[in-house]
Amino acid sequence: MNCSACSSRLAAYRDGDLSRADARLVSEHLAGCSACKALDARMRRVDAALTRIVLIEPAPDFTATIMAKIAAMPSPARRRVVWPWFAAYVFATWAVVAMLSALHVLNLSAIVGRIGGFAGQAGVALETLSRLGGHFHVADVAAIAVAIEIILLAVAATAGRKYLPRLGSALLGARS
Amino acid sequence: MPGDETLVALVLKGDTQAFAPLVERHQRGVVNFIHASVRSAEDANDLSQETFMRAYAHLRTFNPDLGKFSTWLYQIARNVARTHLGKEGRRPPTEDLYEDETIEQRIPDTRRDAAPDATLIAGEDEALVRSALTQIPEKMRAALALRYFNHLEYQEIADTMQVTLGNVKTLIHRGKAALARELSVEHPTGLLGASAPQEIRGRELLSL
Repeated sequence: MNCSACSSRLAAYRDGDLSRADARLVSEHLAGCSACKALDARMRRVDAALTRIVLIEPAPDFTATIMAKIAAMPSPARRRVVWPWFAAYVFATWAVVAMLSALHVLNLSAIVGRIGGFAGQAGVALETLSRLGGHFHVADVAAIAVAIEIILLAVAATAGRKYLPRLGSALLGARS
Repeated sequence: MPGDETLVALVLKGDTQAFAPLVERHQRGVVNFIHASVRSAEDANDLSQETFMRAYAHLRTFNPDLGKFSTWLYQIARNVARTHLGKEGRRPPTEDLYEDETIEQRIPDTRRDAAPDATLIAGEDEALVRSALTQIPEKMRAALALRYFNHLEYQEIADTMQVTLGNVKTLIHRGKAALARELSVEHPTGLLGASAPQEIRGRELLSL
């Protein structure tokens, strides 16, 4: 076993993660190599230094401070949909519509007619547009689409640079 | 005492007070995890408070099917610490000396006659180890802190840091090597003896 192989196995060796054969190779190498022996000793001293670090205690009012602060925050509780209320709301809406139609305040057939008229106009517009499109080659349309895409990306990148970091931190960014 | 996930469910049902035992249970771990990255204990306390506030505000996004509450909490703590360090600039500021203090008083005397056992890192050198810890790459520091301060298992560290088990072992090994190098640079005569061999420096440069 050479020094490189030995040093890359030192941690596993100390953790007892090596196979018996590998562990014997490492221990044999350590016995004969002063550089690796020194490295092993140094790593063990770092290990000991880290183990000896005295942990600090949180401020005595830690929990109290947090509980006081979250009392002023909106509750993270899930907002539940109360079905009877939701059903009542839908029913009441329809009842009002029916009542207004019966009193001729709301002319439902006129509304439906107007929606139909609008749909017809939209259909004509779409047909004109598709005929107009027939005059263009696919390549032209693709080029225009790409140009629009580039402009949109540029705008998004400019706006994003300003707002994304804030959005990221708001979303916690738990992923590294 | 109910488990973390049960308490989270209680808070989500509207029982705000159920958050208190969660804070009690994890405050020491979070404070010490963050203290590995920031030198001042006061800052560590403030950032830990922020961690718990964020956890509370976003508690609905915690999914117990994806992992333990503590894993999720340490992820938030790590982000809070990283954001803080990012605001301060990459390196934490050097500590100021008190008015009547000299630099000689700050740096412990580690000459061979002063320290009978030069191979031992004495208690007063804890500040040096902590200081060295803030100088190594964040990923290695986080792995070391979770291991040595929070006593997490390798697999838990892997879950928290969202890396593989092998990566965790490498991070801890390289973190220790980096720490050894920092300590021998800061303290060429004491602590860890001569500076670390060239080989470690080369390996150190390989990023994960």
